[in-house]
Amino acid sequence: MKVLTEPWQIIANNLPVQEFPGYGPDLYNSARTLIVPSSIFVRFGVSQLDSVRFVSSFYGICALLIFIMSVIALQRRNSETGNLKEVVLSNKNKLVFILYAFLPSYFLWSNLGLRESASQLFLLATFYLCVKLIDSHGFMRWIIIAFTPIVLMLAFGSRPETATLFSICALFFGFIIFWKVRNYSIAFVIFLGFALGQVFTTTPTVRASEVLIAAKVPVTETKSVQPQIDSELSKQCKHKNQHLAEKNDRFVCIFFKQYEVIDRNPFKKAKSQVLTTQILEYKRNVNRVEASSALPESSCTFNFTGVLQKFSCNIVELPYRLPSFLIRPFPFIDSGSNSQNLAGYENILWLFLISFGVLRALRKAKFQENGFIIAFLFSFLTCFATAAALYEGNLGTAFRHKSTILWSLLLILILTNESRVIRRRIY
Amino acid sequence: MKTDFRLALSKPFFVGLLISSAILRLLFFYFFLPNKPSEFGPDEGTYGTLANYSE
Repeated sequence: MKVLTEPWQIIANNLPVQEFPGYGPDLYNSARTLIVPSSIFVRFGVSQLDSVRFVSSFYGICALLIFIMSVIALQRRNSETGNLKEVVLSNKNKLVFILYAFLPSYFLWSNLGLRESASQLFLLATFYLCVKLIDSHGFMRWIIIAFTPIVLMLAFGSRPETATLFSICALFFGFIIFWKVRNYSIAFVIFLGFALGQVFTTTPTVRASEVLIAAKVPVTETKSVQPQIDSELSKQCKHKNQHLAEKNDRFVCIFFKQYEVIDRNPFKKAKSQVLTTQILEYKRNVNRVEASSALPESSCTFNFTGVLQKFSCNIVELPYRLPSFLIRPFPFIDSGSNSQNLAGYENILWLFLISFGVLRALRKAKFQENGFIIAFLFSFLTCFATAAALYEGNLGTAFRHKSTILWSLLLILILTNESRVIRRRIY
Repeated sequence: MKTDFRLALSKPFFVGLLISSAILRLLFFYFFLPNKPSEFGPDEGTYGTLANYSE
């Protein structure tokens, strides 16, 4: 059994996550890609808010670079020799790049200390590595095979639900590649990344107990300042308030709470993630609590039981909830606060981008050289939008979470913008 | 990957985009973002507090 709160951990990071009020350790484990780097800055004296903002912003810039590199990688696949000397940039494509860099809402989310940019960076990086994996050979291929599962694991550490959806779509397309050309690498790295992601984000079941430790006098035991502990000297503690001395320092024995891991089961975690699909209404209602822009409760009146009831209700409500997720708040329909109005104006642009992207994907994917990749991006976009539409309980969070599909939507627009329609690849 | 990175940085448009994004983010960071969790994303306060915790 592993003891979680070793003295050095307490000193380095102040507090055990088990005692985090309200959310407990679950939120920590599902956001650790953002939180762990931030905690390093906190240790160096940066304020906690600035730390998460800096890390989120850094991820945002990295995501922009990976987005650019993904487009270049796809253009290189299309070039006759594979040796692209210069990137082709039409004005329309330039506009798409500018949109990805400066779309007001996404720019704001990725500047605030939120999980949006982290999730987007690691999903984009996984996509990019998978594209590279298709055409790579030799040593580089093995490097990518080793690296991709780790990147996908980090995507799980930023938002597990989104990474799960991405993995399901990528696995499906990975199996198609395996079926068509007996290339197992994509399916393998995604499966491995999914498994690592479960291990990375699983919250262990712990047992709390109190142990005697030697703390330096004077003992400062507040929420922000933890006592200085001597682990060697702690072994000499026999009872509470026992006084000990080490060189010129004085120590006193006190009781300290520690946590022991008694169960850590990634399979349970994976199962609960899949079963989330059965409690979408409950999640939606939780999201509605105290929200100023809450969406209406379910009005489904089917008389089925169990899963059939939930599935039928979701299907019936989807035509209302999907447009609500994709284009609301919308001007003249949801006018309210200033931020809601601004979101409404941006949604006019989203409406145009989504309609244009979907139409072009449906019309051109079949004939385009990168048709297989467009189909994958489109499937991820559709799956995410459908799941989020049924999950989101208020317009504010829905608008924020929508930025998750920005990269796939804009990549579809760039890929379907290419005029050359040559031979169609299998993948 | 190295070639993609080199090609990305060989295009002034991309370099300009990355630099302008970095500068704008710095401006935002120092001048526009409030000292408390923003009303646009109050969750950042929770994540900030979580950075003080450890497994």
